[in-house]
Amino acid sequence: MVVSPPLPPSDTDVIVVGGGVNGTGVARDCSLRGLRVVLLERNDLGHGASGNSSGMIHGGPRYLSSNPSVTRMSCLDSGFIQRIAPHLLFRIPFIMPIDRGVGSGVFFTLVDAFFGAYDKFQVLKRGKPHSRLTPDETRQLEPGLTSDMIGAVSFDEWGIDGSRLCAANAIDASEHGASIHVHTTVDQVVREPKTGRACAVRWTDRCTGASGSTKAKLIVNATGAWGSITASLAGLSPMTAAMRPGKGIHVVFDRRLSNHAVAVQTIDDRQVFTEPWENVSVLGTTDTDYYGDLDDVHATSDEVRYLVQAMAHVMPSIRSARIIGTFAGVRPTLYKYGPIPDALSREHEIVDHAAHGADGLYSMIGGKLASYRLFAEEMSDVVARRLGIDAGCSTHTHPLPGGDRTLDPSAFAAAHDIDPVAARRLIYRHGSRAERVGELMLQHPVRRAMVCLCEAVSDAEIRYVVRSEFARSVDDVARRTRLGAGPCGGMRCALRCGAIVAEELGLDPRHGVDQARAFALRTARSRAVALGPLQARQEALAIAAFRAQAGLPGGRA
Amino acid sequence: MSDRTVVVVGAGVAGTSAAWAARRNGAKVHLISGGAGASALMSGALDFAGWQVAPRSGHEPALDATACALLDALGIWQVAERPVRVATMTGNLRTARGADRALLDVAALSNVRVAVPRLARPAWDADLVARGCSAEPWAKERGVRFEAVDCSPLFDDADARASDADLAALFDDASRVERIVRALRAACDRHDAVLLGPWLGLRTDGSALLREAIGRPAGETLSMLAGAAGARFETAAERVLRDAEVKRSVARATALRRSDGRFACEHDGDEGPFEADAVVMACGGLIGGGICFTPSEANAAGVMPEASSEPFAMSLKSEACLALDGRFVGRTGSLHGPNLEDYGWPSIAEARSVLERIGVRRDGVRALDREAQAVPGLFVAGSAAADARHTVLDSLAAGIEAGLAAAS
Repeated sequence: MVVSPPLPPSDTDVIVVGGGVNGTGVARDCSLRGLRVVLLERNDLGHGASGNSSGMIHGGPRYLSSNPSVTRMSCLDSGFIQRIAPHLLFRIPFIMPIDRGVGSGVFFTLVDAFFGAYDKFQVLKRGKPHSRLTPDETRQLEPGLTSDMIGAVSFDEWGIDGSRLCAANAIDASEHGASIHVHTTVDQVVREPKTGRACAVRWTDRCTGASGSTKAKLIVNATGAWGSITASLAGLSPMTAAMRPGKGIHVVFDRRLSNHAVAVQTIDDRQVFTEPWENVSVLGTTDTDYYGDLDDVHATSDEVRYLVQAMAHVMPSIRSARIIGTFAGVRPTLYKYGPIPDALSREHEIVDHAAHGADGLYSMIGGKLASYRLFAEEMSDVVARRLGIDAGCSTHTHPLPGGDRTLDPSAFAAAHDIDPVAARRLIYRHGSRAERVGELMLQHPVRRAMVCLCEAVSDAEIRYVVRSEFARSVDDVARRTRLGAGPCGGMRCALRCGAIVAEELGLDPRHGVDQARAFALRTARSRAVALGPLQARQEALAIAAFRAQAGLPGGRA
Repeated sequence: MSDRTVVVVGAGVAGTSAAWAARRNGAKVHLISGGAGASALMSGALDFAGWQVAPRSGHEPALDATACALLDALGIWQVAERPVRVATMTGNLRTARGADRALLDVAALSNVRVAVPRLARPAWDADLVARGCSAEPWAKERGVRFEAVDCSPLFDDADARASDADLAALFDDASRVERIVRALRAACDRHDAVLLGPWLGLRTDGSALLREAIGRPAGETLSMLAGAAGARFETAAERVLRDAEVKRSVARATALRRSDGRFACEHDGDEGPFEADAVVMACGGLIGGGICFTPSEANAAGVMPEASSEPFAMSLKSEACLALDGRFVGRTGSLHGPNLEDYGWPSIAEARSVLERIGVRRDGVRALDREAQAVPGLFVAGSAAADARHTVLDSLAAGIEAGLAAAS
């Protein structure tokens, strides 16, 4: 029996198009205010920029000199996110070494003063004040930094799993009545012939082919980099929701390479960094105008080499570290003709398409992970005002699912007979909701088995994210759990995960194999552009292992 | 009979076959190997070509008498006239030309119920396996149903975390086989066959003992990586080479120097170079480290690589050269090495990744140099060869051919 997800209802108050952090944030905010919400996402929650960002809710020090209000806003909202989802945050202390050179002493003093100013905002997000380090102190903290420096400054940021943040918002919205539909694309934003008012959307489920339409009082376009396309689906000019799509890639290493994140200057004078992030290190990022297929964004070997070259400038040993993958996303930065991508604003704005004759349609343009909640609040305020709702925003006080209380990993591990590290990873992802995964584990010993050994993802957790977090494929499970994100690249776990997903959704088991294959091919392509000596061996091994168990696409014996 | 001395580099399927065949032809054989490769990781399925490609190509080579003799000597694999059909640990059925004899071959079954015992192993989910296999069109057509059944534990809690290969080794102990038999008799008495994970002995034929004791077909699924099938091959290969009186050295061969028609094989061991009339390079592909990939930016410090280098190289230096799609592989027009975009997995079955196609330029089993001339006395077999199939039977056939050629 195929367990198809329910189809979107035929009528609602608000349709939110897009399941990134802005879309899920608006869906949650509006639901908490008592509105009926339908969220439609073409791919998966966090599939675009939200799940492929640097994984930080940083305070935006780069805007400090040009636009301190962005910094203040980011820091304040970062503090709110800590309050509602404490389980999802982890501290990332930064070190920024300063090269020795002409004028470097003055530059060092400026940087020191700059972060002194940033310290004033740090209190908003429980960040520690910066410090000025001598070369010896810097090398003691980070022995890999071997470049000739006059010193360094440290500052404090917070890491977060962007895909988990999207999932948490979507789950909370759903628990407050919202109807969440992933893999459901909008084909058309329907407008009333006489008034031009946007009144409905026509949608198609990309997995089943089912299609239909949903009427709504208001429609919010929160499709990030896809925003101009969505506007065009309403018959509007793409320029009515214009942006400069900025591609950013990240390179993933097989372990935490450093104690601190290290910020460094690229060859073309941009700031990039490598950060210890969950079980891995992440090196990012680039910023280039992107006009390719948004559903198929991937890093190129040029981009990988550019980033590695920059980091090797201060940390030469990065060249011999093992790269296990790359990921890429496209930022929906505000449109402006002229500036280089880095200089574009990360501010956000709401476009009311009434100005273009499409009353009832709003587009959310720009924004960043750190201030998603505030952006969602601003959008929901507009929605509430239009629909005559008094209820105010409560997304900054109401905890996200799992964020209500903390669990002790050791006690959880003992109670469920799993490894303490596995318990810790599970609790990081789900907070107190880990207990619900725990209930599944207690049902049968098989549910406790770790399907993905690299990232400690259990059979129970896979089933949980399919049942409770809208996952419909191996890819979706991977986005929510980091399954297959470790050094083995899903070689051991993808097929079993596919079998479990197929079982949960009542699909033919061979469909599960196809899903596993699609996942393996997608991740393999993300690794190929960063192939090094060790990863080449691993890759040959993965191909052989996958072939032996499942064959590669194209046919079956 | 040959009075030649043959050095074989590598102890996987190709190397073992080459050593055995050269020895059989009377040569003195010295096998040098430095570690495990793809053969130790095998799944237990035996093919000539990739399994999803083979049925389309129509015909497959038959095994000749020499190959059959080697299969007999190894005593762990069966290659019958018809293809076998075996299960994976994640509940799929696949065909193969042959298989490790411990595997349950369901090809001949019809209208039967196959028991899949529920056992506490991390990578074993009997319900998942049963459901997946039963849903295969072949199984439905033939009325073969797989059913998960409760079963008393086959092993102690202490063994629960052992790898599949380690667990299989424990079942070489006869008293443990008795315990399995008792448990399975009780659990599977209403079923016609039994499917277990890859745990049934390394040295002994546990599945045969089991079949006899419970009076019905019983056997394993395919092994996952580093499972029982690979360990079983290594155990059997060691015995075959010992029985054939092949001299063995544990060291990594580093270079082959040729002068006056003889080779000196240099290596990282304590002894001096090994002398030989002929050499078989069966040192594996990328997986085992026979072929190395090093873009020149790797290990470089600063912003630029020190020098341009050839991205692919054999770990064993010789006159032979590497080829990709029939062409010599050399330096690229980039200080950083090749563009890597094309190195991902192929998206269609017939296309194969660069990582699989790269290998020693060759004419059959004869290794070629940069001028495409055969290097006298130098042979290549297995994954080290350009466009190798990377399958067990292809490596076995090529290994035998190379061994015989090297000995004559």
